[in-house]
Amino acid sequence: MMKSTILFEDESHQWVLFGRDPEKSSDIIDTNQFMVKCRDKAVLLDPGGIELFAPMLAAVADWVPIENITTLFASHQDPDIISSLGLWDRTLTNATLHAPWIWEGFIKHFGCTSIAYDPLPDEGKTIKVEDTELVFIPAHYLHSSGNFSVYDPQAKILMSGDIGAALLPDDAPMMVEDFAAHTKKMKMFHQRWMPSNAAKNDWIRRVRNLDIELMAPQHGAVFSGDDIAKFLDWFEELDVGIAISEQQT
Amino acid sequence: MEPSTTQDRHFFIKALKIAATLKPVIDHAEDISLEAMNAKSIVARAGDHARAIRPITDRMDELSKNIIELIKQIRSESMNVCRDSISDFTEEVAASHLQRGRTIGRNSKFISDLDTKISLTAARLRELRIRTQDHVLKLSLLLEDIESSLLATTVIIAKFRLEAGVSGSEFRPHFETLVQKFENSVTQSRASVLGSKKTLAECRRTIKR
Repeated sequence: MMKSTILFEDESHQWVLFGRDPEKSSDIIDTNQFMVKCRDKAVLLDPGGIELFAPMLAAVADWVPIENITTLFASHQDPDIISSLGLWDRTLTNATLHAPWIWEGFIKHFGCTSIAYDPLPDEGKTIKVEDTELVFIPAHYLHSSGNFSVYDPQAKILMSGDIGAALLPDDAPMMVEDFAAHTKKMKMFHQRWMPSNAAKNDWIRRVRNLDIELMAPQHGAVFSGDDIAKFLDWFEELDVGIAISEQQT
Repeated sequence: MEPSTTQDRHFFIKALKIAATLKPVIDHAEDISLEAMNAKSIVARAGDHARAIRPITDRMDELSKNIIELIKQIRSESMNVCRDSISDFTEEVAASHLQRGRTIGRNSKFISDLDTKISLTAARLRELRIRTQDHVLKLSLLLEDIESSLLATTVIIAKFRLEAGVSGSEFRPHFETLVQKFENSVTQSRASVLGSKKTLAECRRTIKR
């Protein structure tokens, strides 16, 4: 069964991270999926690829009745983020997918007939699920040309998508334990997948002002406390989009 | 036994193959129709020398148009089979993912919520399979019809050959060339139809499984 980790809990809602599926095929990249569980409603953030649909469904069903899942979010269009959409579309009866407007016509190729698509404008948007506010923060070009992070001001969690992602072994701990060592597992990923220093700096400027206790990427481990500021500094210093210049040298 | 999704995949590929195999039959039937028109004009010029050939060319023209119509229906029906079998395939895939979720999460608190979804998917699969069987049956009858029409055409061609042999020497070579063309078109069409019947028989065996 896929591992479930509670990241935050109060009277109004919980944040649950699903990942480290022991039965996942080794040739597909490990991903973190998130659920914001409110009283009678739940939000799935980057619910994952087709291959993970069944274990994800099984894991989610341990926490909420299926019909409570009313909201989905896709940070961008990649298959490991949202290729399970066609299967969720057959499973959920009353749900809305919030995803970048530029990917609407593309994401719908995964199958989206009963789920409503709410196209997120470039400047972002805030939604409210029961008492919980979720802010979609622009993260365009990090790495996709239409991309958002999610911030929960009450839980002080930033779900950062591919930003902060690291390629780790299947049994790696859920939290970053040694930031310096962890940077080695992030460096190549960020330099290759993130194409623009300008976009990187824009995102850093936006999130530096936020009060964040946990930064949860879609691959790898979750950052907490001081490691978040360390990550922002490290990322700011990192030259990204270097595949072309590396080929030239 | 093959997994049902593999069977479904083979099935819709076969349905596509039927449509593709029969495409040249339309061309052959159009050729027959065109040559029948050609024959009619030669018959008109030959006058009394080819009086007995006139009804034959009329019948050839009629049969070729009938064949074209049948082929159009067959191709449309095979596309229906294909469309349904693709829906069947995707439904089967969805059902297997839901079932897998049900199995993995057998101890999950709310997993029984899935049972209604799984039942609905199974019902839709049954409905699709009944519809596919109806299309396959219709396709089978249409292939029988076209085979009969091609057989009738063969008989008419044989009659044409006899009449061409006794027609005036000026027109005989024209008629004999036409007979040869008709024969080639019909032979090739029958081969295509036989190929399609064979593919359809494989489809029916898949359904029975």
